[in-house]
Amino acid sequence: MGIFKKLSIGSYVLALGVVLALIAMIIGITSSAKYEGFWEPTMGGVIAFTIFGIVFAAAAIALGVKFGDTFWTSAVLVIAVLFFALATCYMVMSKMNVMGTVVFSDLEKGFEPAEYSCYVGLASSVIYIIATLVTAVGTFFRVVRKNEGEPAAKAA
Amino acid sequence: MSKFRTLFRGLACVFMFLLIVTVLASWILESNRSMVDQTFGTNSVVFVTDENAGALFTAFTPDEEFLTDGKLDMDKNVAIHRDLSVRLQEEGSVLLKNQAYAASQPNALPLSQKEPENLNITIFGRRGYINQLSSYGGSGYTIEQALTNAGVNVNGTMKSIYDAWNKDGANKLVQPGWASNKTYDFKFDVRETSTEFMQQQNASYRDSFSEHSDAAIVVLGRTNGEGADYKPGTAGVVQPGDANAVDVSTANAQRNALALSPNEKATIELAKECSDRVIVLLNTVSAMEVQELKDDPDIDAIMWVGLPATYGVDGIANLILGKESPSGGLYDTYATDTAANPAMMNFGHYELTNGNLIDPKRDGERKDTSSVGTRGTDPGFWHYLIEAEGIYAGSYYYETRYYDAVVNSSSGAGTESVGASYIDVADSNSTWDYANNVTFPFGYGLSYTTFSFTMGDVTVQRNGGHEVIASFDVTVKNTGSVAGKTPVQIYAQSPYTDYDKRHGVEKSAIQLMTFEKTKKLDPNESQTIHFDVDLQELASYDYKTAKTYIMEEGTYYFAVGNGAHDALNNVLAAQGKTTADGMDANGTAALAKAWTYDSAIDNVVDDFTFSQSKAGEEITNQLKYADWNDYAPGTVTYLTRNDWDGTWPRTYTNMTAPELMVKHYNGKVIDYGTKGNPDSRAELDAVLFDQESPNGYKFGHMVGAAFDDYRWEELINQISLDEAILFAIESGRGFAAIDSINFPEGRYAENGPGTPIWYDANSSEPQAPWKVEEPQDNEHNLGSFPTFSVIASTFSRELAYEYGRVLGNDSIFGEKPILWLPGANLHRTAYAGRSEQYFSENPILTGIITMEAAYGAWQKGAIVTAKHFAFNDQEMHRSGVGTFQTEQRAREMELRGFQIAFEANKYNEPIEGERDFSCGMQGVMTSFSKLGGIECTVNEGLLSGILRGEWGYHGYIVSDLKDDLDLMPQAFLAGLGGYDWRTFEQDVQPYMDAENFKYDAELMQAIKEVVHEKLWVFANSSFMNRVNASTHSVWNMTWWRALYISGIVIFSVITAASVVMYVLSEVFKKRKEA
Repeated sequence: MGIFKKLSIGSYVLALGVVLALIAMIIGITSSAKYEGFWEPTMGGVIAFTIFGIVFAAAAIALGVKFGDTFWTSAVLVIAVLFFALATCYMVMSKMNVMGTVVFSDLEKGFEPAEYSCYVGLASSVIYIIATLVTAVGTFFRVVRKNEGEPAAKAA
Repeated sequence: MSKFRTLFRGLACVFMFLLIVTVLASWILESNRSMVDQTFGTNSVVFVTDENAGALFTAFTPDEEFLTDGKLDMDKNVAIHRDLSVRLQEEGSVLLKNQAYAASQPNALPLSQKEPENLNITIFGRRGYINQLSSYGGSGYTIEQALTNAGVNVNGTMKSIYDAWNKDGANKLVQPGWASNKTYDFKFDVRETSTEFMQQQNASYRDSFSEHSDAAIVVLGRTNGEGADYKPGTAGVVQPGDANAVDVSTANAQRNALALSPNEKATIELAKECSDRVIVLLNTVSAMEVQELKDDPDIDAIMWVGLPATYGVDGIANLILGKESPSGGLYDTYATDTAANPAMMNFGHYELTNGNLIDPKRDGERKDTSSVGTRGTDPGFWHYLIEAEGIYAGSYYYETRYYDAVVNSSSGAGTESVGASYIDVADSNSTWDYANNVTFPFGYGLSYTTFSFTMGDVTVQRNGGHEVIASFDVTVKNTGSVAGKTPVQIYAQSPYTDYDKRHGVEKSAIQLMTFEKTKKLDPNESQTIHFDVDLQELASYDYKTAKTYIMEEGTYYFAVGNGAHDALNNVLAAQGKTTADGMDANGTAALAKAWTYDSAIDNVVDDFTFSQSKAGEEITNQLKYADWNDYAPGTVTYLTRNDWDGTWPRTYTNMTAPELMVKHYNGKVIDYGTKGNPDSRAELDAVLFDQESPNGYKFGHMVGAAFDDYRWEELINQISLDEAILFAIESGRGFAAIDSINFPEGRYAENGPGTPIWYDANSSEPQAPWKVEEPQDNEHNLGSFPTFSVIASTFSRELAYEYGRVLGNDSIFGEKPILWLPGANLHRTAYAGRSEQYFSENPILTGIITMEAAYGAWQKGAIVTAKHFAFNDQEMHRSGVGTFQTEQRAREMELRGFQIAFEANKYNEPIEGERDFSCGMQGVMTSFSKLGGIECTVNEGLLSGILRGEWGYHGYIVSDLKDDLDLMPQAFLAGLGGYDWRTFEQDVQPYMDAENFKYDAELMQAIKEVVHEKLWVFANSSFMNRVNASTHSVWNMTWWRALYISGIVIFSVITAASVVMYVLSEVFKKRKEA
């Protein structure tokens, strides 16, 4: 409970971003795995980058609690955003083939598994974009309350 | 400053994300430029041409009739399309039955006894009120609209009812669906309007009949489409109690999807209530079971109208009203029982028992990259289809069995067919009877008038060692009271000899050889038509012994007839047979002429004359492994007319692939050099790339160049291996530029009777002189032509040519030189769901119509690309199914149709002012399927041996979609020349790596040959309109490029600045703390 007292709005926004990224990942996995033939190799990247992003976001909060909102906390935060951004890109790339056959041609238009993979995957991509943006917006705010964990200012 | 740390941090993160997304977007846009350009109407790569370096827009010019003051006139263009559509429909509709509708009354058709405005009719059947673009609806006009526009008073009460039915989404027409249902349990629902619904809509609807009883027109039909087949038998159609079923009844249960449904039968009865004059229109390509309509004395006329598409319905109206007389011949045999034929013994879903050894996604070895195959829609990874009927499909089966029943009545035709569970034959132990099996034969058609035929004597001439031509005249006279045209169909019979029986050579008892169509003859007018028949089409392929085409000594017959059955009856009459011998009607002996063949060599069996192709190549067996018996001798027994009962095909289920077949199914067909096992350095270096051209040749110098022009080698040697690979591969909606030879990129078009050409409103400068300033295609409906089977049923070379020529003009205006049509596969069964995209069951009809259309398009520089080569005999498992058959069947059935189109020099004498078409058709798309155990895309025998070798084909051969992409090196070695891959498909990229090709000299040479073939095609197409020696492609700044470039720049700057500012803020903060 003490930890939560230290956390600032930035951490909560980060947490929201993490949750959204998790939801996006689950939806993305579902869109690719529900029907046979829609799992692209890039989905591995989606999962990996999402997990890395979550880990780094959590690490940023932990660093903030321990050491305050320092340069290294910021660096870890930025990397978290980077990973979520990469996860977003990989998610979009994973759906490009099925977008080609469902949206930009009629090759699989009307074929339910393809349409499911396409539209649910696109929904996942949109949630990834929101998650990344939320995470990025979170970096506008402090991770921990001011002076929490930071070295005390030297007395004048 | 330090106060703004988090601000700078946030800005850096946000703009970093935007930068990454923008970079991703730029990559997507650039790697799919062609599709992006099409979507947004931009030109990301433009042609740049110095007009002083050579004339432009002179290679091919549109016909004057499309222009006004030298500019494309869209009103005229629409009128041309519409007029041709109407004429195709008028001449392609087939009148099958026409009797007096009451005592002392004229025939039911035409409705010409009254002026249209005095005609009050009722149209029954939902299809009378559906747009006719494709088999299950689309934009276009309805049959009701066509008749109303012609001035006829159509029953508005019934129209309202049918409109309400058609609007309800629950009644939406559906495709057959079996192929796309992985449980293979699809049940087709015809969804014809029910009488209960009519009652609900308007309880007194019957009151409207009395005022609209001049005729009752019933429109019945079936849907069709890609990716779906009909499931045979009762299991393939909805039954009472099925969930959401619409068209079922406990009474009048429907026995299969092609038989009349309960609601259709009820509709017929309603029509009889309405009027004494009942006319049925068959709005289908799948051959329905309509014997009961033929036998019903209260149904007075039946006319097959196929799929008339946008404007064809006006042609139907013209026929109904007697403005034109029908003159079509039926494109398929309409069987009494669509499943009671030998081809149906093997149709549908058959899995190898050891399919587990065939894994399309085996890591690093073989992946199935077909767009549809990987989705589970219709994968055929471990599926097969044994076509044990041999040549006996369609009329080749029905007429041959009929002949044997007459000629050898004691045992000739065997008993009624027995076999698969879904075959419903009334009495399986009785002697086979034609009347039990055929409702309407192939080629059959009636007219509003009558014709008499006179056939002249046959003279046969040998031209050199390898060509034999039979010549004769046929005189046609209109003996009726109405002007009209008629097809003149020429058939032939070759003797079925003891040699054939001993050596397994099968012969159809009657075979279409060629045809012409008369002009419109007035009553009492005559026309004499001369025929030269190339007997190559009559030679039989002896794959077991002679391993080439043979002709045996004996008596041959040439005959004229109203379809295959009538011609055969004429042959039987010439042989002295009558109804006393079991014929169903006496023939006319004078319409069949006998000719005795004396072998050119002193053998009873002539295996010399037709052992050489038109291109001068020896013809011998090429299709090893097309036959299951090639893998495991004696496994499959093919049907022979020598023993109908004993060799009636069994259904080959639970087959186990032999080891070699497993290897073939896994894509291990052709060996080639790889990184670990390369060819020698000397061999690799001998294949030249990146060379200088001493004469400075560029692509623009090659306008109209012959294939063997000496300059090609020097031109092509300039290109790099990477350029060659990309150009060779990319054959989808566009083709890549080759900068080293100033070959600019361009686009293709997919086109068929149902798809209008896309007009490119934003092509590069300079623009064609006929280009209109503003795109008008959105305001003008070019429409779609009637479907392929309608075109085939015209039996009109002239119309097929005209159709091709109109497409060629469209190709010029749209600046798309390549058209993915027509479908030239055969209708092997009535249950194959893609029939509307193919012409007919008959290879000769298919081949001639294809050839004429290609010839017409060729006059305007358009490359027609027939598909699918070959044997797309069912949609079920089409992506990879192995179609096993004898080489005789392969060559004499489907390949013969393609052969005619590719060897067009046989059919075309040079016409003054016309472009020589001796090269034949120049484009072909392979099939998803395998021929036997080997994919068509990597089938050396099919592509190199027969197509390029025997038929002397030059042009390009493209796969269907990305079919067998992972077999690309083998495919190029086999003769394939490209992949029809589309955009947004990134999985293509790894296969284009030069690492896959550069270790095998033969492979690299094969790629160069593909480049040669394709460049030659383009050099002789309308593509050259905007090309001269200076033409090259340049990168063009489009709005979307400007957008992402500016985004990258701006976001990069802001991101960098934010990072810098953040770092500075941290420094200030530390100094402050210090």
